[in-house]
Amino acid sequence: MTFFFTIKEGFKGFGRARLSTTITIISVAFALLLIGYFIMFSMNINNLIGDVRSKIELDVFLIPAINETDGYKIQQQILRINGVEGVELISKEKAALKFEKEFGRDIIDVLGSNPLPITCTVKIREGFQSAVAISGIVREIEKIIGVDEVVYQRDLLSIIDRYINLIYIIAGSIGFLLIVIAVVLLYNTIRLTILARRDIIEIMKLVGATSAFIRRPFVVEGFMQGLIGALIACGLLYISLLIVQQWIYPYAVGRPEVYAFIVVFGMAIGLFSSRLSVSKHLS
Amino acid sequence: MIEFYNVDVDIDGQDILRNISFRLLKGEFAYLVGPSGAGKSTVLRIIYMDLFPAQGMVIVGQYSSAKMRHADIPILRRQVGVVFQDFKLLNDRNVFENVAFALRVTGASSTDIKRKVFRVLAEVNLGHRRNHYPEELSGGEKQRVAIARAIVNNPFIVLADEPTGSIDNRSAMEIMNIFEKINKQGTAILMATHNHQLIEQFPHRIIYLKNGEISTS
Repeated sequence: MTFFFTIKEGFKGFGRARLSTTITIISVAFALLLIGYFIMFSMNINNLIGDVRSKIELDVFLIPAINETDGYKIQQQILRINGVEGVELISKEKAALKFEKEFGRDIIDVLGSNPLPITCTVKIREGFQSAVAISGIVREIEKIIGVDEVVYQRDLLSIIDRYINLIYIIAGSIGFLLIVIAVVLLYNTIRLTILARRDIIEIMKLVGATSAFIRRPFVVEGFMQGLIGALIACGLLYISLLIVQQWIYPYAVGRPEVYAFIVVFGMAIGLFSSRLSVSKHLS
Repeated sequence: MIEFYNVDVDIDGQDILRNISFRLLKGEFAYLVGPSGAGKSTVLRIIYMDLFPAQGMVIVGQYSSAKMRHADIPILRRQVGVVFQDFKLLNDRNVFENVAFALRVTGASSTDIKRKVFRVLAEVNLGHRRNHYPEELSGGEKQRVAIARAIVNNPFIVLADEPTGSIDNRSAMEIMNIFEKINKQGTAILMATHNHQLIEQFPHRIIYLKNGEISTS
């Protein structure tokens, strides 16, 4: 009986305070949408950086005296180094073909012979794509007899590594700030909804309702407001993502976990804000 | 049943009641009379434990203000009916729901609620208005709904704070007749009022309050 009364009262609260309920739902949706945008933005920046890192390869030039058989031996030695995902051996002939493809002329026609050395293109495993880890791998490769020089985009990696921590700190602070703003905004909006209905709370107390009994319908109401606000935020976020993919950045992604987080966060914030507001009012 | 022992009350540093002692017996009817600001509403608030004495002690039924636990206050209020001058009805609920509200908080079953609400609405002659909303009722009818809500849990006392203050004379007489009927059934009544005409027409014990003190009882 009490359970059904609580649920019924919680839903009735929507109709009773239409304006404040609408304002609360819009506030919830707006705050969660901001958080959603922020998470999506951070996630895509992270993906982009990951993508750049994963494309970084090492070009290992072998000394000219190394023939192809020794080149394959060196390839095997490089493969055994921790952090190396794969090694492709580029023979002198393949290198000449590559030259022709890139410059449109046969290297023998230009220079009279093929001076290009055998090269190994090394792919780096995920988790080893930082400047520090790669320089470790490079040191290991340089120790191998027959290796002449290792070339890679050292400067780009250093820039990414230098700024990535700063990006994470700024992103984390903005995220934390947004969550705090959302909590304060929603807490105050829900508190106003409850203040607007203090007459019903007063009458409930007067006729002998326990604090828990008074609190429950408001908590149900807050929970529903949070849920509806979160669903609206998810809808708008999805539409925004489609627009971004269509017009701005086709590789933008939105993982289901982000939507799940928004829904759970919305419900939790609605529930706790309403509970806290009523308890404060009751005390 | 209600006992005040040397009760002092101060609100925001201001003395509202000073050294109040009186006793209200089971089934008694008494008026609380005095000028505005004498502390009549404060006495009622102390009885339904919305306020607690700064000094002294109040006994209400089996409860003592000195040993009252926060969790027991709702239980006490189910045994003490309260009626106000401004009715304190929920405007978005009809007459039936306003009265039923006092039973719902106790977790009563639907059958029980229906039976009890119909009974008290009949007692205050409002059975035919059960589906109406407060805004569709006259002042006298609203006050009868408030009385029905106050008595639906069979309280041992009904506290009435200027119950005839916002209604015409004819409705006030109806309200007084209802209080008389409730009192005859064994429920004590403590009514704060200014209306000397009603006191003369329905004579009962009078407790005079002046400047926060009892002058005669």
